[in-house]
Amino acid sequence: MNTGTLIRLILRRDRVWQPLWILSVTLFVAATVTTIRELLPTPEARRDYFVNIIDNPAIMLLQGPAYGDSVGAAAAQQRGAATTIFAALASILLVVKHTRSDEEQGRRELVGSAAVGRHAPLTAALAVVLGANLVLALLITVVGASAGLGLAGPLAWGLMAASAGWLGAGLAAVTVQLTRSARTAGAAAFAVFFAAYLVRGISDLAGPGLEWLGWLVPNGWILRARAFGAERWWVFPLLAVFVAALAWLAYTLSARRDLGGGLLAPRLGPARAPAALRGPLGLAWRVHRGAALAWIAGAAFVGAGLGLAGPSVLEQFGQSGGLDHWARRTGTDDPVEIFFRLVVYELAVFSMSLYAIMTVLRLRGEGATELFLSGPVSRARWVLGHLAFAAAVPGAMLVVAGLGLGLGSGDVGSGLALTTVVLPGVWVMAGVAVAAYGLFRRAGTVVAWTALALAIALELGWELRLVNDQVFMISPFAHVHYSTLADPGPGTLLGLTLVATAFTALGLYGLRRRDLTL
Amino acid sequence: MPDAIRIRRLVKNFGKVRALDQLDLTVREGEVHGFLGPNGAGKSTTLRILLGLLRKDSGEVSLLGGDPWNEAVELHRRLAYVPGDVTLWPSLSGGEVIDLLGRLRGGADAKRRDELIERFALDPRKKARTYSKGNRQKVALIAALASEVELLLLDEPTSGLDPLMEAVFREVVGEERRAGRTVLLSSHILAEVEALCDRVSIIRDGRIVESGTLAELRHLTRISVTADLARVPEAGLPHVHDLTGEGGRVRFQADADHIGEVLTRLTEYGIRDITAQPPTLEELFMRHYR
Ligand SMILES: Nc1ncnc2c1ncn2[C@@H]1O[C@H](COP(=O)(O)OP(=O)(O)O)[C@@H](O)[C@H]1O
Ligand SMILES: [Mg+2]
Repeated sequence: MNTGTLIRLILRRDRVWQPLWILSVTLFVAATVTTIRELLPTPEARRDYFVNIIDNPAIMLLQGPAYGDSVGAAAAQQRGAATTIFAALASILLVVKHTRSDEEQGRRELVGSAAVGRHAPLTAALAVVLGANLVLALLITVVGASAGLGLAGPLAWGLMAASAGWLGAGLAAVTVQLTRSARTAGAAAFAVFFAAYLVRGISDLAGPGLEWLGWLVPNGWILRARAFGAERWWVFPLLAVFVAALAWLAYTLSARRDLGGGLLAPRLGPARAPAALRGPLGLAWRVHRGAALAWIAGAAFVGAGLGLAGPSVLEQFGQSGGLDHWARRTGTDDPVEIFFRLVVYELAVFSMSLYAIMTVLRLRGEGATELFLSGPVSRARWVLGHLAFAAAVPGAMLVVAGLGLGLGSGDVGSGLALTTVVLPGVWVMAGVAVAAYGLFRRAGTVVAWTALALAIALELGWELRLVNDQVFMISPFAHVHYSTLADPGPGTLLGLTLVATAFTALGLYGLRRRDLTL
Repeated sequence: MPDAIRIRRLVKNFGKVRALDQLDLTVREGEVHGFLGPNGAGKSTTLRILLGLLRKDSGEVSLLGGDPWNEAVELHRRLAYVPGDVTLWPSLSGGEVIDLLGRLRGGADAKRRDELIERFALDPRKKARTYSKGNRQKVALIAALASEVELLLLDEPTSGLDPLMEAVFREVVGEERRAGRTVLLSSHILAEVEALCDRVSIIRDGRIVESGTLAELRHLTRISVTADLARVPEAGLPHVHDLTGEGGRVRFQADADHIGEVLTRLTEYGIRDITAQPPTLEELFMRHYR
């Protein structure tokens, strides 16, 4: 078997998944262009819009600035950053799946016994992922060009998405050499990507004074390609060189390790279990603690970063004309509070929900369930053990982020108040995930993620005024929102908690009644 | 003596696939019962229903006198299970998994645990992520064997073990039997079941096709004989079945407990060449479906 055969094997195993992610991202681009064209038909409308949003710190942090007033520039400002994240995430997952996951599950040995070079799986995975991203770039170019956006802009956007995919693949190629666990390798690659992404965000947020910061990370090069502005084409060759360097590093590391092993040697564990490892809760702590500590550290890092960057940002923000607009929407005229409300809400609510859903859905992926439930443990206790972490760790993250924010900005009390208020909204998503798992078995994963996607879609629709207030209130996030829409008093928080409990109960009821198949 | 497991007319469908079709199974208290069948016959499905992991579609199932679906938690204190495909928590060490599973049942026998770890030559400090299939199986086996329970449900527990460890396993199951524990051992290896079990049930396509002590099933263990003879024997030789052949080349089945007599008779026909082998499991089943 040679690399060519392995490539065909990968294409066959991913014959659904690969076209699906590429087409989803392409459709996402096409839909954005259509929406912008309908909502903001004239350059004046788009300029007005930018005057308003440019002062929204959350948008600067997560999306970056606009580089023109054309339809394409507006679309790229809105969704360019998101396409880079999707492409990177999909590429990381694919590289991990075809390298470390195969090794972890012993499939690599099957291939290895068929006499392939030791680097062949890595080469095949990288070739497929690099190719898939080229296809993505091509499709985005075609979609953009046929929507009448010219050729250069769409091509630049396509290359931005593709180069983010390549960057993700390069990072994953390195992390899979380091650790034996596919999960850890994927999480590490994405954490590095996302941290660099936020560094770029903080740089954009802080304005010209910190512009150099964004140039230190490859994500900065990608987002500053200025699609639909005066395109900086030279960032792409620069990125290619960077990814090539990552690939070289990956091959060098790969040559120095054993098959199935990692460069970081696996530590031996204890021969006997510590006293705390006895029931569902003790087990859940062991299963989740690594990820939980990493997420909490990340929350502290982001919280403190925002708190520290705050003062310089606020200076700009306080002077901008957009403040009035946000003051009206948030119902307060203190610029500090407006700034943090927007940023905290956007960052906290979605990343915490992501964590909560992922944690609940590990119920499905946990292969040892059969063994565990053959002991005297009810299904409800087993689920609640995991749910405890899906519910408590976001709380810990919000407290830590609030502390970081408060220490950075000098007001701990309001830092904590700002962050912790979104927690019951996150709990509702965790409850929805339990209900989805309990009621729908295999389809539960899709149902849970669809629920989050729907909440995000409602949020975006509301921001673009496609969705009215009443409809938006379906989403749990509307009730902990930064705008005057939300009324985060004890009544609302209690109500959300009850809804979360009801979803959980529904999930446990469904689970009690169905086959437990893995 | 009461029955540890009693299943009557059990049916389980997965969508359109009927995995269990009117299955009957009785395991008496204190016996080692072999549950023998080829892959896909429904052994794991039966065990999972006994554990309350799967829900039956119809039929009666009683386990240690209780209902495995409604009383799962209480019943699980009195049994231990080794899955056919053992998956562990990757970040826990083998020793931690053994202790965790033991503590769930209120604490395992520490001396027995250490002794089993030694006999199965397991390094309990290694993370489960780094164990091979056989080692994962050993972890589950040690956890099950060290817990003080009445009933052991073992699903093809030796499929990943090397011959040395298989011998240890046979020894240990022998000790369990002498200690009076009930064991339901699923397997697709005839020899293993013959060596260990008091009684055997044979499952095929979701039905039990034979059940009884090995002596009762002796008639099943016919030996396939292929011989090249100088003269073709007439039909109706005692203890010879399904005789076919052309010229001097014949094939037939002989009752295992009369093989000596059969071979003596055969010498009268001038043996030029002869091979005899015990029937494969497949051949046993074939007999039921002809
Ligand atoms: N979760 C499931 N979903 C669908 N079909 C299943 C499932 N589990 C088992 N089956 C089917 O039920 C039959 C019996 O399987 P199983 O009990 O695993 O057999 P054995 O353990 O004897 O090899 C097989 O045809 C198998 O494909
Ligand atoms: Mg099986």
